[in-house]
Amino acid sequence: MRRRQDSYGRTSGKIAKARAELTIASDRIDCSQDETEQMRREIADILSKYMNLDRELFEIRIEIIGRTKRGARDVKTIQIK
Amino acid sequence: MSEVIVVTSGKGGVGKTTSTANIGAGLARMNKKVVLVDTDIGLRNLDVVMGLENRIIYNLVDVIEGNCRVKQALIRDKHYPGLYLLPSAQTRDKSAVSPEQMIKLADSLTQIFDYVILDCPAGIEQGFRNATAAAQRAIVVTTPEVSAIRDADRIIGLLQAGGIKKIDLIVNRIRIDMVKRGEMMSVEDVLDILAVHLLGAIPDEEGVVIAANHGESVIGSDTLSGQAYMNIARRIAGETVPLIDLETASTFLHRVASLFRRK
Repeated sequence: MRRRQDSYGRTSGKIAKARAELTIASDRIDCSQDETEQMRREIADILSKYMNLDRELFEIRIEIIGRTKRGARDVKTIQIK
Repeated sequence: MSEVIVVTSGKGGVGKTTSTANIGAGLARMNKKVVLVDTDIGLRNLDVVMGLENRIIYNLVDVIEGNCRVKQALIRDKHYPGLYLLPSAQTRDKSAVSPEQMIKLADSLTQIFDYVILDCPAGIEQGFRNATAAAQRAIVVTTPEVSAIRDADRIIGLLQAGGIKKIDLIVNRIRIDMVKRGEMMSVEDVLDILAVHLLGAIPDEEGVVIAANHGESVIGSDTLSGQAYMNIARRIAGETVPLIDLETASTFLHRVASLFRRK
């Protein structure tokens, strides 16, 4: 049987949730997971210039809050929390 | 006022057809007139889940092409007099039907029924577009797995882009024991990710498979899943029904069951 926790001590349920979140975030904005991760890091860098930021707890959520048709392309308005 | 509801998921095998059959039975048990439409042309299976596979004479494509009247193709359920099935065609493919034809068909069914429930094929192609074009409301079925959740998110995006305002979620096949051990995402985890309204969660129980083996629903049976589907039907009909806490309910049922076993 596979070990039940990863090196961070997460159970497979938590790992699944993290993977689902990451996959969906990159699907929503049409960016690869690496790019999404890099964006997350850069946003964290900027924010930490101005405030105290716990990078372990730092989380960003990307949500599509609007869609408009522009020609053949679907333009999405995203909100980052 | 009748409603056209599409049951969809993106990913295959998460329980769309089983959910459609059970929701239909639940609504029929509340004395609603319900028709379940199998929109998966070429791969029919709702008839088998409902145990009506031997009664098919005409199908959806026959109705659309005018080979028969709608009422001739409808098959009445064995248990509920208000529940009907419109089976899909086995020998045709998706291109036999257009979204416009599906809208017209759904319109004619709303003259007869309180609820028209469309069992959508897996995928996001023609069959999905046909079924969703005719619906005002959608029920997205997912399971607590990364793949199913990812597809559900895609589907929700497409439904929103298609102008469907009311989108509800069913989280199917929850294994309470695994959630407790942290080896499965909980209903809350799934809701966190998908951010849509929860219609209900269905525990992964043997009873669902056994009922489907017999071509029956779990509605009215003494199971947690039967109760969960019944609650979903009541919520669809507009009742406010509190969510079952699966964790406590499962241990409670266990206790009741073991009480009976002791005798």
